[in-house]
Amino acid sequence: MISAGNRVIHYAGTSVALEFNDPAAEALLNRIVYPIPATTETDPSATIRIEIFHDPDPEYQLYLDGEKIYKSKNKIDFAENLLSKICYLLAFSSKEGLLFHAAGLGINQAGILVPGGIGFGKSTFTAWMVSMGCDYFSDEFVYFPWESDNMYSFYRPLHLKKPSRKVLSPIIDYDADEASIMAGNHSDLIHPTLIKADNCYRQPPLQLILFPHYQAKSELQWHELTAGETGLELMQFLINSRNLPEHGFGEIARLARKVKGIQFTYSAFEQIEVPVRALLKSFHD
Amino acid sequence: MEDKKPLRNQDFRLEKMDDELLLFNPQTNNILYLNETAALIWQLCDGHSAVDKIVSLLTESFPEAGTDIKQDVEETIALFKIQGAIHLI
Repeated sequence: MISAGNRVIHYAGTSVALEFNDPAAEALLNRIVYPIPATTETDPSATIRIEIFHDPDPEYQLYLDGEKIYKSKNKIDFAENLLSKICYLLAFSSKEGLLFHAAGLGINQAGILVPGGIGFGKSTFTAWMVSMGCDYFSDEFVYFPWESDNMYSFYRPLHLKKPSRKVLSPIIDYDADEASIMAGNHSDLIHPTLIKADNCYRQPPLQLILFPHYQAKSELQWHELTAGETGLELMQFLINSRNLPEHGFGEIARLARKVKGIQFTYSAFEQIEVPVRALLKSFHD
Repeated sequence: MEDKKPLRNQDFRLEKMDDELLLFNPQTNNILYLNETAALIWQLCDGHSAVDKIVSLLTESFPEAGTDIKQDVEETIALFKIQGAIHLI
């Protein structure tokens, strides 16, 4: 097989190798996984190969360790599938630290962790937080190397489902060019600079944990958590516990003791704008 | 239940968070959050004190709580049992 290039993504104590038969495949990858400084460099746990065939329209094919696992003529659908596969492989073999299913944000010198499961509205909330002035780092993974408070977020486009367009259209230009937005059939991949032009990726120390829960038609419920409650909640969003000594329990407790956790249920951003602005302001003082 | 003696399951790892406790069983991935009262009850589950002894100890320490303590202790110990956090001997 002809290789036009390769790239290794080192993240969260593991790595995935990627090979391409076409420079356009590498360009596509670079649009969905932004450069991330490595905490450690390890041998790849898996190899993904991306091939593009022109017949005459392009068909995108995805191979995992030599076996074809997906193909599509839709570039955006392919990109979403590729991103999902990379994330799965990294999560599966992540070690030497805590990997959370969470968004990572920054305000001034502070890091904000936003853990959330599927259906919690995490990515939509994250986009709104960026419009409130936060820097965007990830809407999927945040990693803490062992005994570190610093957030190493998996830097990638915001992955927003189509229904979120209704609430995010005031802050996102959905007519922007393809360099900023890749619009798929079911979701959009959005470059953070489309929301915040001067967005800046970094790895700040964790200083706040937010547990948002979107629930249609609900009244606002805002609850500052105790350290124990924060630890309990955090444990539910730890992805790689089976790869860690004592399932990462002691490390979770260490973070929960140091950082304030807030849990809230809401049905509209207007409900949370005042308390969130107050929180963000506290990191400027 | 009053004459049973609850004994903590040693498989659980414990993290003290101020006056609260987090308990985690690495074998089952089960995690429990104990508020201040539940944490006190947990610490008294030593295999020597029967449930009624635990009730009387807490009643002496928190007389203002009155008769609620008996119900709280029994419910908490029943929850510990369901979660596999104690054995009743």
